Amino acid sequence: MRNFNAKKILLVVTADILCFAVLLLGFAWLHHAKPKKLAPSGRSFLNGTPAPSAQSALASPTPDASIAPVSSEPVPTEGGSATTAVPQTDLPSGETPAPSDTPAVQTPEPTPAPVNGLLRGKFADKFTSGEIVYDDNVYRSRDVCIEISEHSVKVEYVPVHYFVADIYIQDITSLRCAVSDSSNNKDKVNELAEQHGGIVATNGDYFLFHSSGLAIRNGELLRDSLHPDQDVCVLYQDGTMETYLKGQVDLDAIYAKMPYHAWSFGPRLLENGQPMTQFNTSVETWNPRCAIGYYEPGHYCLVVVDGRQEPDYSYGMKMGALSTLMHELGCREAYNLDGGMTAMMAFDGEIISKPCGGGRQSCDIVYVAEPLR
Amino acid sequence: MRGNGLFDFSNKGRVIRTVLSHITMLLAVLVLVLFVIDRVNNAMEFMTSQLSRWTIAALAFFALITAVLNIFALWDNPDKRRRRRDRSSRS
Repeated sequence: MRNFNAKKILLVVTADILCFAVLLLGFAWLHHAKPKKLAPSGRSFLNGTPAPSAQSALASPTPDASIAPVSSEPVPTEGGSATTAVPQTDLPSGETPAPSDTPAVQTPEPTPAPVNGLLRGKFADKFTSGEIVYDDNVYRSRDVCIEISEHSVKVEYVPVHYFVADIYIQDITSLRCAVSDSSNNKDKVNELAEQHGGIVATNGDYFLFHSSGLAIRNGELLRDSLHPDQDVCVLYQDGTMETYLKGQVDLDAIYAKMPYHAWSFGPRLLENGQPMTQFNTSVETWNPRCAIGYYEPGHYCLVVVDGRQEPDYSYGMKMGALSTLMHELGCREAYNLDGGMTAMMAFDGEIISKPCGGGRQSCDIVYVAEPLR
Repeated sequence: MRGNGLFDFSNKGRVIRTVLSHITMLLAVLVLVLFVIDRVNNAMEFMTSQLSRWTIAALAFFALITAVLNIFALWDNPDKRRRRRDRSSRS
């Protein structure tokens, strides 16, 4: 029997623990913090659809000429909320229009919406004849209508707080994605939205930090490898949205239908418009959530559920509860985007949700802006 | 080369085997940790990413080298050599 030296053993064990810590940190940095290099195929599905000026989602920000001055001073109204009406037309590219001297417009005058738009003339009362009207919760223009609502409910006897952005757009290019081009490929959601002229924005699927998963942004194919365990969501240029279960994704069929965006995170939340009980995820428990929902071409919603802020504010949602929520909202398709600390919603350049731990920066966002023309 | 009394570096083969064993052990623990957290959140690709595959490959490589060196070391063990010699002389 060998005579073990206790001091030596202690030293070796300590060295092993230190080496393991270094190894784990190195792995975490390479795996998590270092963005994956993308080699965009250069394949574009834009066929007659205007491309963002920074079409490559990895390129510079997109100044949107027609976007409203969401940061300009709103005009107070009788109801206490601030509403601003701004002429939308004839603005030089990139110039911020000054707030109008015209009286605040509380209720926009319903005007016939373009019948050739995505909504084909429906929801005409949601749009204006050309001016931009907005307040703390609503943004309306000729092509875009966003209504933000905030809800506090009890789910399984615990408080849950969530935000819904109800979105009506006449042109698919109003629902865009942006990817951070900062040195570490991460930015705050509201800052990234402001850079790109986004009115409302949520985080995306964090695809730059995943090594696989279909990624199409603004009609450009950024990555065509499928993740073996992830459902896929595709928004097509005709305004329809479809979700696909893992293993049932046919890339050629998707490409043939001219996709505008494709997200890989999941899981899919609705099956034939009905809530699901089994999900393709291992993170089903209470968590902050972010999801995108589809009603019909031109009508979508973005949902952010605050969480991990017990016991008084919000626990978050289980995947089943999120599925039920999307069903109750009336969505036909719904898809879960990145959650946890990443989940947040920005409106008018401000984070309006309350992300847990203050939130974290995101590498990509989904946002709504005036269409590209 | 000798150490400071705490470690004996005179036997290079033994030092190499020891170092390789520790590397193998660290990689094995890392892979186990990845396996467990992948069960918690598989969206993070802890077991399926390229880096994880290389980690598993490195574990296999170091495990193989360590195993081969240990087999040779055991084969060269003086006690074993003596027993083999005794057996052959008896026969």
